[in-house]
Amino acid sequence: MDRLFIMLRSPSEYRDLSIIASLGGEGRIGIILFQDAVMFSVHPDRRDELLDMADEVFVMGNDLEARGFKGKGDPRFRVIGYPEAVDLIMEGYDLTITV
Amino acid sequence: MSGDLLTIITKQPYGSEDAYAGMRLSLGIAVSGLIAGSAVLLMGDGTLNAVASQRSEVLGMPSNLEALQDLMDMDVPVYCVEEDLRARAGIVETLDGVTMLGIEEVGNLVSRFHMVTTF
Amino acid sequence: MGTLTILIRSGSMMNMDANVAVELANAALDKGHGVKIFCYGEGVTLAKEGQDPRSFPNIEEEMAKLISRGAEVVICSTCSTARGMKMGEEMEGATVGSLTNDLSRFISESDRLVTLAR
Repeated sequence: MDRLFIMLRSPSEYRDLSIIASLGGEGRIGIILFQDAVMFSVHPDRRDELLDMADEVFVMGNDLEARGFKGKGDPRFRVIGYPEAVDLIMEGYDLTITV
Repeated sequence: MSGDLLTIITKQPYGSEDAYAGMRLSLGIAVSGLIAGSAVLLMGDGTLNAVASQRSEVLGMPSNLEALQDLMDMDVPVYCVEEDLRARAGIVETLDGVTMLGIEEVGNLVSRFHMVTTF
Repeated sequence: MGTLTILIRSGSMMNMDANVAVELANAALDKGHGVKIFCYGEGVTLAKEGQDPRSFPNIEEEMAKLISRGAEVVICSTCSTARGMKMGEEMEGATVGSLTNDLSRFISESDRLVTLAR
């Protein structure tokens, strides 16, 4: 079962990311970063920690641009828009978990 | 009946309404007759909801312990991650009927559900 | 095409969760999916009539557009009563309902559930 995690909060509000590993299971793990969570993609200390948790990590382009970081995120984070987010939720993964 | 829902509670009792609201949501789903399965998983700070010696009345709050009991009375399974509770409070007595899980069992539990919500 | 249920627990002006709900719902409708929104806890304020923010997006107007596009919006009766929101203060097109009757139905009729809360 492939699981898509939704993250909404700032990296500083996630003291511990182990919940993702605990809830992950054997299938693929994807993460979509919305709102303040997009700052994981530019965070010098936390971005690798998050990337290590998942097979793929997506970041909402509008939230990144609004904060002044368009094109400045780590390229391993894939920038997407809402149409792609819906495809990931409805077809790309089996269930979503907000953490 | 179709569909099922695992309600994951990660928040402490009484600091916010979240944990209680999650338990009530799981109960509402369970009694609907529309959903095949409803269960609750206490993780992280949410494991503190299982502590047997809670006394919510000193705060004038509804009892999360009674809310958990209501779930189990309706045959809704309640699981608690043992390591998370121990890391926060040491060895404490928990509500009878709550099933203790190892952290390594959580992924398999999630696999049994088609939908998950978090509180 | 499938059906997406959004369970929102953040209030309309608490943070941007309401805006994410609106954007996700619109994108899902654009792709032909069905959309159901259950407003729980502070989330009931998304469907309160008479919202008039001076600078921020008007979530009531955005929700009205979603309803006009076919989205089903239900607010939790217990939660709205607890917040002093009386019957009839919900926006046009939204329904006051319950976990047992409505969220359960949403879940039984949906392919995916997204929770928006902090």
